[in-house]
Amino acid sequence: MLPIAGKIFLLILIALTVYFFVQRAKYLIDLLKLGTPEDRFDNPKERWKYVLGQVLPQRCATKNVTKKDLAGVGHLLLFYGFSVYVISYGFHITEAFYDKLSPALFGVAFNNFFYLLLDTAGLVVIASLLWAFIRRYIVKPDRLEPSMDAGIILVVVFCLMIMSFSVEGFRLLAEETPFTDWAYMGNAFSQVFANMGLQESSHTLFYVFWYLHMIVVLGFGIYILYSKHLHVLAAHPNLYFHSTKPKGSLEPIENMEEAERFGASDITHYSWKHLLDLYACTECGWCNENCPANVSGKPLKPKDVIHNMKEHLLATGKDLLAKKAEETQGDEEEPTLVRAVVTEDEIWDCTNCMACMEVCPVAIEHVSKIDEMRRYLVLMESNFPAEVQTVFKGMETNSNPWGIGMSTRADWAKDLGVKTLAEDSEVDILFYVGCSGAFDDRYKKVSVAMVKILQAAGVKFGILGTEEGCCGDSARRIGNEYLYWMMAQQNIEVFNGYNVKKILATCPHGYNTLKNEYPQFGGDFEVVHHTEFILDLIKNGRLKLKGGLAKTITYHDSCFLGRYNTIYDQPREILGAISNTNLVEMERNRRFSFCCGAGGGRMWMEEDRGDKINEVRTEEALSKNPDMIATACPFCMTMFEDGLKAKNAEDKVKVLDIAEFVANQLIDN
Amino acid sequence: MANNVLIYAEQMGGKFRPTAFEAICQGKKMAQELGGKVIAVAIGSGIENPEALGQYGADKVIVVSNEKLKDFTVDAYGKAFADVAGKNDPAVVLMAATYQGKDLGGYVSAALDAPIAADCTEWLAQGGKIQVKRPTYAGKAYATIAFTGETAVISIRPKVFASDEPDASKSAEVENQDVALSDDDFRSIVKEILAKAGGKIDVSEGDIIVAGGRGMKGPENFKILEEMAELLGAAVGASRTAVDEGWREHADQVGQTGKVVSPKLYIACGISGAIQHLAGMRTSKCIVAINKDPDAAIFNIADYGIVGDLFQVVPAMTEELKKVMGS
Amino acid sequence: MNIVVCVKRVPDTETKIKIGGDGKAIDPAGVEFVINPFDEYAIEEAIQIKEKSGEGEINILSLGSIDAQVIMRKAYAMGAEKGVHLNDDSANPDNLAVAKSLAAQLKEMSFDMVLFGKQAVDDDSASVAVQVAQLLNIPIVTRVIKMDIADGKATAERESDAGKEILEVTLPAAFAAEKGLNEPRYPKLMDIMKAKKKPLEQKEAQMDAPKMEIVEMKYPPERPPGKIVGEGVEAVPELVNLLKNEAKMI
Repeated sequence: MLPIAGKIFLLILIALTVYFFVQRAKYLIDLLKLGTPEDRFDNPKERWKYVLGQVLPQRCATKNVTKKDLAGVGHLLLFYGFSVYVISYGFHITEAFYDKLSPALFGVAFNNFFYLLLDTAGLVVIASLLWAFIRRYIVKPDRLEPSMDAGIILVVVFCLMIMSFSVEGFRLLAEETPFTDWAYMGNAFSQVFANMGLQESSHTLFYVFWYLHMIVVLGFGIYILYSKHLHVLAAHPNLYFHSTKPKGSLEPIENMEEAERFGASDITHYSWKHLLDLYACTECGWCNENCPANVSGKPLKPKDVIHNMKEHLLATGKDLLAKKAEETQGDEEEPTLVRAVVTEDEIWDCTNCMACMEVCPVAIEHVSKIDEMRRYLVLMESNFPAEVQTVFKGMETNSNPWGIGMSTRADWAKDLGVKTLAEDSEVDILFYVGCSGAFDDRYKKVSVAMVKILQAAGVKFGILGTEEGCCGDSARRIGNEYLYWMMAQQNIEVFNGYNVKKILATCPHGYNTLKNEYPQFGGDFEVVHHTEFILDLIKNGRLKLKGGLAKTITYHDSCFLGRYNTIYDQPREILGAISNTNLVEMERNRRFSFCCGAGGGRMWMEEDRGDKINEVRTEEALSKNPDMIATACPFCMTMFEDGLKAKNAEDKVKVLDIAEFVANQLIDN
Repeated sequence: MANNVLIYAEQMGGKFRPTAFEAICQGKKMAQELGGKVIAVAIGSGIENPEALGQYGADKVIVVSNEKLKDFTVDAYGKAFADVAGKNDPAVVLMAATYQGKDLGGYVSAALDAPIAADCTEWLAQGGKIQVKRPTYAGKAYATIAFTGETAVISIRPKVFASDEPDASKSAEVENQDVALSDDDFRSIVKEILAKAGGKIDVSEGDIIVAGGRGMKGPENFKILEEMAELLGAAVGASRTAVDEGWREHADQVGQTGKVVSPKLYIACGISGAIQHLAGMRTSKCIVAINKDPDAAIFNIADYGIVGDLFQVVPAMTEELKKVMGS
Repeated sequence: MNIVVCVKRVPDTETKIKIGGDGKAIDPAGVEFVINPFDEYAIEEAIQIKEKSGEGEINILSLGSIDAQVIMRKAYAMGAEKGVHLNDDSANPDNLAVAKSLAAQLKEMSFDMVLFGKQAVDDDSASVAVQVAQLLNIPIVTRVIKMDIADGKATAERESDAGKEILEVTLPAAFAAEKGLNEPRYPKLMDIMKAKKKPLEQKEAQMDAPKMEIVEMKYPPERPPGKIVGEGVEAVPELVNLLKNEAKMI
């Protein structure tokens, strides 16, 4: 227990801390309120389950751990170690006012155990700090940039630990009956201090260090609100309010007919959750390391986008709040976020591959942020890469991005004996062919392969023929929500007209949007990807396959299939079923898979910044010396075929779709 | 009843153009069907040998010569032509559907209150009247057209009708005619004509495009395409790969993310025919593909193809073209 | 600077043309209709001229069935203010009759310029613009690839057989736009929404009886399937021969 003066001093310290903390916290919360409303309060049970499941076992930090990057383990140690300390500070403060409330209150055993734990935690924290220090300043992995914040925190926490040990040491030295014997670090420090002849002044030094360390602790409490360590507080709510919608699905624009603006050009056009994302960022750089745009040397770095948006929010927050108070919060002539904070190049570089979101420990939603800015550029400014206009017009008039006459949409199926639903709508499943499957000479072969498989398995299926329309995914991802909406409406109308219940899609982009985004417009269908469907056919014994294809194959995970829809195993199982081969994995696979470069509408844009993403990926595949590259997406296929040509390897390595592998292996009945 | 055929005899720099001969030859045949005379009208200044139009079948040549008519403008030429036409009671006013002919056709049609059928590719006589066939919907349909009025304006597509060999023994009667032209007829004036410099033709403007792809193997090899292009007055295009490799500029790129073109003739050399490329050129009227891979997708869309090494085929083709075009 | 842009609703160039039962016209069922692509250059140019001069208005004039209003709204979305629709279901094949009807309407409108596309991609006649100019007694430049307006005059550039031709024209005048004049804009969504509310006057078109008729419409002879002329250099003479005599390309 402290003397009265000390208590008052501590009270003043605490009051100051609370004052500054509350002030800053209120400011930060007020800034969140600048955002637009969004309901993220549904399903609290699930949300609690999620946040606890992420934080307590530290899944958030450890989910990306690989042999090459063990930093997550360090974070886990630091998290647990420091958590123990945070609890101990609670004890320290209460003890200062009322010494009955010391750990000793719970008995000697508890007290001993408490200090044993505390000292061990301290050591763990110091070890993890050293580890972090070595990584950050000696190993220097790409994803970490030197940051003042990080340096300060390492030093401060290190000092804190030393001070805590010193406090214990001096206290042990000063008190006649040691309050515990198990504080081995405290004892060691006390021994050192005794050897230094500090026995006499130990009482005073105890207080000095005690106050010092309380000042640092309380100061630290305020400091985190001003630094990237805000994540210590913001990450948890951010995880709690994570999106429960299908992964990576974009939100529709409500009430398009009457809306006054579309997309986001100012920071206040984002919802409060998007702003909370900014606070939650730990600047760990995982997103950058996995971003194909960044890796290929383009301006876009997801972490920087988030960080710059945060800095922008904090820097302009006062003005924004004042404007809101005066109700002068109108839309500026020139956007304050787009171009000013996030450049157009950054906005267009994104492939929507969702690697950033997949690895983000704190559930930040990068992709929809970028796509909101695209919506602004496209719908409000009509400002987009020139080559995209052909795509929009092609989709508007002929319902495909190339603008090929829609009357030829079913030509690929002419001689295959495939019926359209107009001819016979009594089918078990609709084969939604998609634009590539219908128009691209290369991918038409995959459609043909798919038909062979369906026919071999005796599946009663049909196609829509010329009634089929473009799924609209590219338009939506480029930011043309209006065009997307028209495409979706038309398709849903046609599907419903035939009372379609189940849909098979070969293109993951169509698959994803039909399955996860069409429900936003009242289109509820069971949608399966051909890799899922084929695997079921194989498992049910409906396909007779030769097997024994002796080739080295590497499978490339399509982003919209893998990360968006967690289809990782099915294609691999199919390849396993048809070959006794060597299925080699690329360095980056499954949830870490590296985009081919064509998602997010990038298929239709020139890639004139940085290296070509498809060539980077092709090189990665070639390093495994495969005979064949397996894909399950028309865009990926195009990108690999182009990549192989660029690497002069097209004669050596063939790209085949999973459906083609299977069709080639069918035993004719 | 009107039964004469009045023909616009287009000249450039005082010399008649081959399309004028094509028109006169057809005009002569029409006049035979109609039982009328063939009257050619030459407008300009410093027109050489108008009587020689008789060699192609003109009975009479009316020359409107005026310093002010040195350069073609539709207002002035149209006024002059319509004036002459009005005095000669034609059943058919005929011209080639060239740049000038298309302008003039519309003007004369309005001035004479006569219907026009432009860019015809065939004609026939039906019940003492001329009917024409012309492509519509970009050639996806052909319409046969009958006229009901006294006079019909017809323009014929250049190079579709061959002109007969000139009969040197024949000569036409030449009549000079003055047409009163006021300032109102010169509200548009030609300030300048930038002669074709033989320089680079933009791919979006070329009637013929010679394009190279990955099969070109390097920037230096585009020389053989340039040589052919120069001979044909063609633009040189490139596939995305060729541009990505830095062999050609982006401005030359044909395809989905480059320029979408629709020339009369597209010669694809070493281009495999991926859909990104096809999207930019598949509406070309005639496509020639030269590729070493017989399975290349470009052959699916090509009208004519040669399977072979473009480094041999292209220069040989240029030589062959020289022979044919020189003759 | 008041500008009238004449626009036409035409089948998309990619559309499959089906000849109707009477064998004299196409069957519009299943045909995708668009704004005539050359007219889009005209609209874009009008907007750019207006933006540069900062005054005047853009009027859209279209003759055709009620569906013409759909493409007029597209022109509105690009930036035109208002327009007149001359309603006519007759599908009159005589473009002079069309030109007369347009000219009669134009006489009632005030304009400094009338813009057209160089041709409509349905009948590909390239006549109406010149006919209208003649009927209005104003000068016209066709196939314009570049234009500048200053002091009541326009400087227009176009391709001619002799080379690039630069003309100076006194306004009021008509112009017919060629590809390359500009890149037509993609309308902003807000403007698409606003376009629905802009004024559109509908009138019955006054049409003369046609002086020509389509007696028959037929498909062109089937384009022969592509052929591999041969392999290597030996095939070259045959290829060149085909290009000259079959395809008539050289």
